[in-house]
Amino acid sequence: MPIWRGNTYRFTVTAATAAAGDVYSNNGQNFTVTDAIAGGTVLFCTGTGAPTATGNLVRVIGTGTDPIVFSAVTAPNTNWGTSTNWLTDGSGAGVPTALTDAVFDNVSRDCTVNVAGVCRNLNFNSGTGYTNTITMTNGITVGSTTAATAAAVTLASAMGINGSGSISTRANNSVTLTSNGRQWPNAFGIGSVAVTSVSCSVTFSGNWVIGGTLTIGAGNLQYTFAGAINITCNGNLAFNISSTSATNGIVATAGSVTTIIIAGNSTWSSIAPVNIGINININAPGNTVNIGDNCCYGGLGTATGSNFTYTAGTVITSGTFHFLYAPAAANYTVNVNGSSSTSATTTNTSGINFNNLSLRTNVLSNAQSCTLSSPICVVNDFSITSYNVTKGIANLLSNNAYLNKSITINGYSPSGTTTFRLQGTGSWSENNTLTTGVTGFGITNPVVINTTGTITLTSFVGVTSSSITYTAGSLILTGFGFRLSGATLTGFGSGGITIPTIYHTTVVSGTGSGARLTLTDTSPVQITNLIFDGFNTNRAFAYAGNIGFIVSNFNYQQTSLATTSIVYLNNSITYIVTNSFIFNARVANNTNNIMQTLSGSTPNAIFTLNFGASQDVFGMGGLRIDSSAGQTIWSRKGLLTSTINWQNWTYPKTRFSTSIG
Amino acid sequence: MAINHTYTITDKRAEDDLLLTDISIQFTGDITEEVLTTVYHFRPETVEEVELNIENRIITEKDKLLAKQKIEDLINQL
Repeated sequence: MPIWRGNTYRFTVTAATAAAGDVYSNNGQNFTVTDAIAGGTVLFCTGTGAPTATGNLVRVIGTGTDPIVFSAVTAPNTNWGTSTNWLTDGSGAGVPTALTDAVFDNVSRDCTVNVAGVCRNLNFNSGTGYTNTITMTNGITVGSTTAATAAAVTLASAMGINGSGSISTRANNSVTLTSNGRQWPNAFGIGSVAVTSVSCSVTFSGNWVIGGTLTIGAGNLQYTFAGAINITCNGNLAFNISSTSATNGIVATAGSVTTIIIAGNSTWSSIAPVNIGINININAPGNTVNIGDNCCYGGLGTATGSNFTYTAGTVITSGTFHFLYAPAAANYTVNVNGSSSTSATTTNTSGINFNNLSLRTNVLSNAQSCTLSSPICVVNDFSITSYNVTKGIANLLSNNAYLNKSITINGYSPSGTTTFRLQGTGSWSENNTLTTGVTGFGITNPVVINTTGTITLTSFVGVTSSSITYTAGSLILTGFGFRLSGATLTGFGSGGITIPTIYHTTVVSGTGSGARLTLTDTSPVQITNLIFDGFNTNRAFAYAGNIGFIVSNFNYQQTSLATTSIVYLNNSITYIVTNSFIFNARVANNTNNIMQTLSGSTPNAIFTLNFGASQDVFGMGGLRIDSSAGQTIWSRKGLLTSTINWQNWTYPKTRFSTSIG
Repeated sequence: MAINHTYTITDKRAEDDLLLTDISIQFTGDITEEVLTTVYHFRPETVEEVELNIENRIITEKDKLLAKQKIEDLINQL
């Protein structure tokens, strides 16, 4: 390994022996041997002044050769790029290359990186550590061009650093970074120079403080960080990792999770949304942090406790931030203290308001979750974004999401609990909500519509095992509506909202929550088209809550996949159909093809088919249903028990007889 | 156009995750009308939040009345 001996006198000597620390004199000056030689022909010395061009070194202290005859001497200079400034020792000679190391020790003197430096390992802590100054006029690239060869950067606690050149490490399979408590004031790259590898494991020792831009990554790679240390970025933070592979990103090591602290007037950038499993903490009191498009957190490589946290500073966001989701990965936490204000902007002095936020997923099962420790705020658009799949899973748990514009669900959330508060003007849409065979749809997050603006549905949207609460706002549903499974609707009746279409989807039989729509209000829910959906096997549909509905068109049509299916109506509650009542089973005279009360006893449920409405009832009967306030319901081959104003329709019989007179 | 309003909470109660407020809104000025309605508050945390929700709803109800008034004007003009 070439050891830095620049800024010393390099004598070309007749084969001689000397020990480190021996002192020789020439030309009235003293020269102290820096490195022992035994029969060597190159002798490095520090000197009190210049020697003669050739001559003898006369021993003053020590037991080495006396005199040492030298035929040439190199004047001291600090240039990294001067071959004679490097002591040959081990890995090679001359200026370090990608295959040799650069070593600085307690004997090494000042160095100027006058050329673009290259080395395999960069060690400033040899011996008792470098205490002089390296001037970074140019950068140094550390690491072998052979991916399998390990690379390391080791700083020394008392080393001096001048200039603005960077250290960049290649993305070797193994990279070790040791700070020894020394801050690096310039740009620093971790695995930021590509080699032909697909993974790069980085092991940290000691906390790191980076004064310049910290760049992580070199394209299409997965990185693994190990070391429960802090990397404090006082400059910018740049993730240079492509999303070419879904496994790309930074993987945290369980039990040894690294934390990046963004502390300066920094810009956080990312060339693509990739997995980030290590902790990220914005803690920049008095400073401003800009978060750019494609910045991201979560996904593959999170470990128990992985978190993205805001602590202090002003944060300005632009573009789209991504929360990533991966299968079978550890859940992670986001704590960014988003604003609840309806006038929130992308600048926040006490938290982070996302410009756009995407929950990015390609997960079809066993998805990780993101838990919110504090609210999130999305100033513009919020989405679930599926990639490589049509509808991926993305669960957001706990707390509130203040959504000030549009919400796009291109995926679904089967167990999200964060309350989505729609409080601006925008649209709400979902992909493939009604596609045949799509069983995963909608969101389980409670939705609250509370705005002085307008929310417009631009497709059918799904809500499962959750609720939609209308508090305020213009709600434009024209041509669309909701696909609901196990959902609660609140406030729509009293809010004067007519829902064009509800697909009541059921996933269970009986009166369980998966079959139930709960209507809570002081006025009946007005629905134009109520369509029963989910007849992929024998199911049930139930209505609970303190209020009923007023439906124009009631469309219940069993398919060939279902032979029995009960409709439950809440006892004592009134349900009204005003225009069309289609209530058809596939099998006649079956005790499980009926409309009946939710609880198995009186009082009756009240089902009114208004006068003038059409009806088509086959195979479906009734149990404890009072329809006395409207027209008689005529059931063809349905079983009627304790119904009021229901009748069985007897088909007209035609008799033919003939006689021969 | 000057439209003022006052509102009165005529009843309040809890239902599971919801706080219900029955309110009477009295519009005065260019619209003179009383609106009775219920406002639902999902997991509210502060009185200020509830009051803000009611104010939001009042804006919605006012917009409805204005839209209704506009439609009636158009009908008269057609």
